[in-house]
Amino acid sequence: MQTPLLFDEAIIGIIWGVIIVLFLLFIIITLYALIKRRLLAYWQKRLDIAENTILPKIYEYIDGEITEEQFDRFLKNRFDIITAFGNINEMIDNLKGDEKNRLRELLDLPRFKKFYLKKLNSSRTVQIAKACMYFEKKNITDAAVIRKLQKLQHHSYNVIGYSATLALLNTDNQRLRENALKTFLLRSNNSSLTVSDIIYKFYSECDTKQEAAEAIFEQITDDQIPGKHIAPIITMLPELGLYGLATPLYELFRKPIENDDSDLILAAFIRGFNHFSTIDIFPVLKEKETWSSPFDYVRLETANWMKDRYRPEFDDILIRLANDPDKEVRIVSQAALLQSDQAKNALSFLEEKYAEEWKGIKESGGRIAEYH
Amino acid sequence: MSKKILLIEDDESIAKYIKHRLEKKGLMVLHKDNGIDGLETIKSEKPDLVVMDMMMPGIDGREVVETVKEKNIIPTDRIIILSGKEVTEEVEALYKLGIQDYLRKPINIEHLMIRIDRILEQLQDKDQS
Repeated sequence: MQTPLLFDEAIIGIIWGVIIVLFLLFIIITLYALIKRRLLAYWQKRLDIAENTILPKIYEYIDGEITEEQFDRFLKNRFDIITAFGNINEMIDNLKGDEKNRLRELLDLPRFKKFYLKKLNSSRTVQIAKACMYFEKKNITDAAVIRKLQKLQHHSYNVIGYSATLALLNTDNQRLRENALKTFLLRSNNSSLTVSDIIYKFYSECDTKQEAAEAIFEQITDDQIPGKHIAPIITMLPELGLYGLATPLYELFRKPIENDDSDLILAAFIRGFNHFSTIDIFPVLKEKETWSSPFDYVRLETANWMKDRYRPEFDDILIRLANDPDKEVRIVSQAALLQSDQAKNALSFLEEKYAEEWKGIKESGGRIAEYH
Repeated sequence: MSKKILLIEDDESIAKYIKHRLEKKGLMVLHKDNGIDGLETIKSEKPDLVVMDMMMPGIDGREVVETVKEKNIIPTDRIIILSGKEVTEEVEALYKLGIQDYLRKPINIEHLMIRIDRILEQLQDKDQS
C-alpha cells in the first residue's frame, strides 16, 4: 500500500518542480524583456538628446562658425560620438566640395579615432562593421590599422570582409589597394553587388583611368578568382567608361574560357560588349554557338545583343530563340524579329503560338520597330 | 513675404543640412521624407520651389513630377531634382516634363544654393512684372 502513495507524492513533487522552474523562467524572461526594453528606450533617448545637440554643432562647424577643437568639446560620451559619426558619414556620402573635405577632417579628432579603434577589436560584428565604416571615410596611414583591416578581410562574415576592403581601398598606396582588391575577390562567397561596389570604389580611388584599367584587367585574367566574381567586373567595365579595355577583352573573349563558372563569364562578356558598341562579336558568338547554350542567361544575352545590333543574318538564330523554352529569351527574340523584313511569316506564326506574350511584345517591341 | 520651399528628401542628415542652409537665408522650408507626403504638400501648400530627391519610398521623384504636370498643380520649372544615379533616359524624360534642374549626388551645396537663389530671383522678377 506504501508504494502507490510514494509514487503519487513523487509525481506531485515533479509537477511542482516543473511549475516552479517554469515560473522562475517566466520571471527571468519577463525581467530580461523589461530591462532590455527600458535599456533600449534609454539608449534611444540618449541618442535623441545627442542628435539635438550634436547636429547643430556639425552645421556650425561646416559653416565655419566653430573650430574642430570647439566641436571636440561637445563629444562628451559614446552617444555623442555615435550620433556625430552617423551624421557625418551620411553627409560625406551626399556632399562634395569644401563641406565634404571639412567633414572628413573632423573625423581625425582623437575622440573618434580612439573610439573606433577600440571597436575594430570588438567581438561583435556590428561594432566591427561600424569601425570599418569609420576608417573607410578616412585616409588610413596607420600601419597597425592597415594590418588589422587586412586580417578582417578574411573574416567569416561577408559584411566584415566587404567593409574592411572598402576601408583599405581608401589608402594612398596603390599596391596596397590592389592587394586588398585581390584578397576580396578571392573570397568565395561575395555577392555580385558587393563585387560591383568594391570595383567602383577601387576605380574611383585610382589616380588615372589607365592605372585602374590595368589593375582591373589583371583581376579578370586571374584564374584563381571565382568566375562569379569576374562576371560582375566585366559587366561594369562599360559603366566605368573603361573603353580602352574593349580590344584586350575581345581577345580574351575569343579564347576558350577555362573557369568553373565559364557560362556566367560568357554571359557577362556578351552583356559587356553590348555596351562596347563598336565591336562586332558575332563571329565569336557563332563560333561558340551561344544561342545553343544550356544556360538560359547565355541565350538571353545573345538574344539581347542581336536585338540591339540587329542584322538580317541573325534571322534564323532569332527564329530559333523565339521558340526558346525560356519565356524571357522568347520575348527578347520575338521583339528583335520585329526589325526583320524577311521574318514576317515566322512572326505571324509566333504571334499565334505565343498569343499571351505578344501583348507585351507589341507594346515594347513596337517601339523598337518604330525606332529602326 | 519669405518664399516657401518644399524639400522632399528621405536622407535625414542631408535634408536637415539643406533646410538649415535655406533657413539661414530667411526662407521658409517645409520638409517631407517621402513622395506621397511630398505630393500632398505640393497640393496643399503650393510652394514657390520644390527640391526633391529622385529615389524615395512610396512614389519616386519622376512620378511626383508627372503628377504635378498632369494635374497642373504648380509649374514644373519650379522643381529641382537631386539624384544619386544619372540615368540618361530618366534625366531626358524629367527635362521634357519641364523640371528646372537635375543635380547629381553627391551635391555641392554652394552650387545648389546659387541655383535656388537664381530661381527665386526669377520668380520675384516675374511677380513684380
